[in-house]
Amino acid sequence: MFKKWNFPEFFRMMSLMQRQLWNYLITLCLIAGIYSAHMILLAFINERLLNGAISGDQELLTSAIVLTCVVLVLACITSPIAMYLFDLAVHRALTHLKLRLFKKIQDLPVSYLEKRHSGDLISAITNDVNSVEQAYRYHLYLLVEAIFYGTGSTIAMFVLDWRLSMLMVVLGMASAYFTTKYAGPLREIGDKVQTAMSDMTVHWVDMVGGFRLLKVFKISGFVLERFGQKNEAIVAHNIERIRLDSQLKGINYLLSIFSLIGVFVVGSFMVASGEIDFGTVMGIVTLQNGVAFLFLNFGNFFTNLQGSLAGSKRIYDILNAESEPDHYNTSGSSKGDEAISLRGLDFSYDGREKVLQGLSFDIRPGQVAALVGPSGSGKSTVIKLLLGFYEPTGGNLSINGRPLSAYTLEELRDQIAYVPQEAFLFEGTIEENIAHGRPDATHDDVVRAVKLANAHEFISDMSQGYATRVGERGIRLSGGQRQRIAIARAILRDAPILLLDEATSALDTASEQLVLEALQTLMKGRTTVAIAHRLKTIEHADVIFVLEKGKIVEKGTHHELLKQEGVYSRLHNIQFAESLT
Amino acid sequence: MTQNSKSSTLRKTISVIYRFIRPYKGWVITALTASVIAAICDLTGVYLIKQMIDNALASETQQLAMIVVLVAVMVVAGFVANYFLTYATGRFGTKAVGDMRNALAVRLSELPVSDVENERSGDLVSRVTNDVSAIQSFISQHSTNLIYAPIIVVSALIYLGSLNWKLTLVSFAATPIMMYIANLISKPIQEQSSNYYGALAEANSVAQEGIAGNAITKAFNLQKPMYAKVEGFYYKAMHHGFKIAKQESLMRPSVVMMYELPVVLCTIYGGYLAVSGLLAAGALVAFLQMLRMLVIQTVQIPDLVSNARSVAGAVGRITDMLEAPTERTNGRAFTPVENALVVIDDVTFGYEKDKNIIAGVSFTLTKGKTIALVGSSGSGKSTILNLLLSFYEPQKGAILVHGHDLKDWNLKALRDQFAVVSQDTFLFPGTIEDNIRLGNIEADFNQIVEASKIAGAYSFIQELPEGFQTQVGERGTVLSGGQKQRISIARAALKKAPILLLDEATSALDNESEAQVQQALEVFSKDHATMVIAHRLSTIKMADEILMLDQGHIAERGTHQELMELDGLYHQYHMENEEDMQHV
Repeated sequence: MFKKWNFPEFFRMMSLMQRQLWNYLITLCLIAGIYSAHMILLAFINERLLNGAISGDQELLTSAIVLTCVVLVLACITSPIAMYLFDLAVHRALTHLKLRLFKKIQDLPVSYLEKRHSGDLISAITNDVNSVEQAYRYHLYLLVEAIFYGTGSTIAMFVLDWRLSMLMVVLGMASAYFTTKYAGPLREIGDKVQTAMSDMTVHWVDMVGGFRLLKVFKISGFVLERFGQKNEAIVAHNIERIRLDSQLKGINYLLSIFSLIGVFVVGSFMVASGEIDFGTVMGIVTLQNGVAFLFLNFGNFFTNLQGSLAGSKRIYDILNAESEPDHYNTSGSSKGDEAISLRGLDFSYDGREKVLQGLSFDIRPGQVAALVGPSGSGKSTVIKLLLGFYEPTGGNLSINGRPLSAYTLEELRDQIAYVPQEAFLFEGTIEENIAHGRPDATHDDVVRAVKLANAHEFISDMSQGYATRVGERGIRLSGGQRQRIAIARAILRDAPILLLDEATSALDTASEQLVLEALQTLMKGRTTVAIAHRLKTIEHADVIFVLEKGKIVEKGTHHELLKQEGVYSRLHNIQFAESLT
Repeated sequence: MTQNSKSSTLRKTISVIYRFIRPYKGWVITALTASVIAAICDLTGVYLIKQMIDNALASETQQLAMIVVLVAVMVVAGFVANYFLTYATGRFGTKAVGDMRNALAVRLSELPVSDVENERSGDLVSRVTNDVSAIQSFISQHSTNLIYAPIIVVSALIYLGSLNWKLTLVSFAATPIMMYIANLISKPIQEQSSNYYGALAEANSVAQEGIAGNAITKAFNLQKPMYAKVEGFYYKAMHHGFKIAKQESLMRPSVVMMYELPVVLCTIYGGYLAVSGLLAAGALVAFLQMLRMLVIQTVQIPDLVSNARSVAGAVGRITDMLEAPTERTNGRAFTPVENALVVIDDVTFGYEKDKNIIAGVSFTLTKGKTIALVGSSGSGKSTILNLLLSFYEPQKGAILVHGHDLKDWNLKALRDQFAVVSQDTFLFPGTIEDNIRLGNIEADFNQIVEASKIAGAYSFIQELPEGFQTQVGERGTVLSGGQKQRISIARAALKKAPILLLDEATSALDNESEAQVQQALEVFSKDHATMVIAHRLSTIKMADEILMLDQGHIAERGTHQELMELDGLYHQYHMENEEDMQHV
């Protein structure tokens, strides 16, 4: 029982409560204490009541009645207060835990976040915290109550009569024994039922997903037959579970009836032979619940806790993960006034395959630079390095003449306005989303940025204008609208360096024109690094870098590169020729 | 009115559950009998305790021994009853619910495509998982309680009343008041808890978005405002939680009273009666024990009611599906003709009223010829396919297959005339061979190999370690989009139907394998009538006739050469798309 259980993990889970831990433990003990005292006193009340009734003793009866009323009043006053405080402590602890997790996840490096599905991380905040909540609210609660109520009852019982008490303890242990004995097989078959259920669900989902195939090909009978087999498996496992379950129910019935009527039977003979009085028997019968409760819950606690411990381990894995550093150690490359300067920059995501190999280029302030190349050539990686999402594995990088190591990541990102490939918007109003570019911007600032981004017209056409809610991830807006809001956000940011990652690739021709115009405005007076698939959109760049396999293979202006008749001109010719076919 | 509709949904719930448990009448009767016996045993237990105490006090050892024998009989009966109660209930519940799932699956397969595709797939899935499980747990956990509880309550009240009716009345005097108060105080909790869970779900979704948008948060240094936003939502949820805690603690005294007051009143008045010699000690103990049993049953009532209510909802949703109209099964099959296999004559159709997707479309599909449908997304290409397969019916105009109107066709026979390779290449879990065989269940392995060769799938299947026996689908080997497409082409080839419909069938293939498949298809389409929907020039070029669709109309028609010379929509469309296709 104890082998499966590790105490350090348990204490770690408890320490997740932080400041609420003591509030929680104290109120928990209070609740359990009040309940146990109530139940144990009830035994003594019943003892007096019955002895009083049998002997006609008025005094015993009165004391029983007074005790009853006092206990009831105390229970009615104290237990609600303790429970309220307990609830507050749990709510506070869990809310703080969720926020701690969220803050930690925010601070994790991009490499960590890109390796894991965002659903996994949110599941730590929802499912894993819920499983810890189960432990705080129920498992631990039941354990403490079992200890208080159980040991209290056992002691009280032995005070009343040790011989009958021994019988109760034996019955309690037997009940615990059978419950744990059945627990393993029951869990096993429960898992089988779950697997069969999900198997069946998969088939059902496929019937829905492949519904047209079902109609077009003559396969309904075949598919239904397979579904029927999966369904049959669920039924079979369930019946096996029911068989075990009903055996356990039967055994538990026997044990509980023995500890109720059995005590009366033995007690009656003892009373008849004058060895004991009936009040004592009644007292012990009242206490037997507590003993059974102790054995049952003590056994269940360890199994129930496993899920919560697994959850708390996942939470700790996140809390202990390394956060993004304050700054990187990459040294500088230029003493001049280049806005961006790369010297021999290397980068690898996994430490083996080099995505960038000795990349070098300079971009002067106000220049528009374009990165061109097939997918996998390292264009997006350059943008990610400039944003400080990853640390270069080798080489030098300077921004505005200062080495990368001289910037904290926050300062670095303050230099940059970024328009991603797919404009990610947060649920909220259009205005809120644009204001993310500069949180202290006034409404007029926002409107100015929006006008420059060619977005004023469509926003004004909406019934709620700037207060229109964009929906989760901006789904209520079209791709072109989202992109223009992302551009307005970048304009409002008013940062010296602009990074564009294929900002127009997801758009149809009409909205692309509007977005391109907006981008022209945005690029004015800023150093720009742009990635583009459609060469048409970057013909006017001051300098074009052609990347292949992490290296620069050509550079120059559009016209220079065409004359070179290399990679760029080949790409250009293909696109041009295609448009004429 | 509301009373009426309530009782009618209740009746419906019961009649649906009854329909599914009827085949297991034997087990149902066993469960009912067992629950009656269990109730009797519980009551007898209390009665025997009373007898024991009275006889022990009178020192009647002989009588006492008799009672012990009775106790033994009762224990055995109770054990058997409890065992069979759990077993029988579980058994018919499980079986009935299994039948329910099968019935749902059969009905699903008979529904029209339009209904299934308009429903959110999550809703359909929750029918067979959540709703069915809710019904199962109701049957196995609560249904016998509907018999057991009334028996216990009524006979206990009768027994207690016969022992001492005044004490019975006094004991329960305060219970209705307490129940009323508890109910009154608990009312706001329902709303508060839905507020709480709503706020929590909202907070979680804000947090989720914050995590998904992490790149933007970092790029714009938005950590602080984002955290503040999430914090605000979680605090809001927490305060809703506080409100519930407060309400529950207010409710607590009346709940304690509900449990304890009958016992307390019985202690006071019963103790007084006993001391005055008006009540035997055994009867007092019987009172105290039985009060507990009664209180436990009464306290369960609200739980039972709310459970029954949610099950009624689940049953309602399942009945809706079981009673949903199926696709028509009438009509007949017609023999294939030699020419003009499909005639589409002035067809107009829209998924919603007054919003036509296609209007006045006419064309003829002849044996050995290929027609290509071209147009931007939303121009109605796939809709024409849906109409051909009679997934939807045209609002105006007629579609003839083998010279007969679709309305006269039997749907199964009609769909046998088509081999379809659709945009989404869905594979069922199973082996590759299984998936190809879906085209023709009776095909032998050689035919499957033949079909996979036509589809250009044979070589890559051979290279897989387990070849045709490779498991695919949700839990199987992950195949590339191009490989899946070739498997579905093989499936269509195996079907050997006179009309071939290709909806972007080769879009995920690279140029080389597309050329292979194209060649094979060209041979294949010699004795078929073929309709293709495609973007790629290479696919469209080979068509005998190209229909350029624009907002549901056929704007231009002719061969590739003719349309390029026309210098119209097709020409323009063509240029745009080729530029997109080029991965630079």
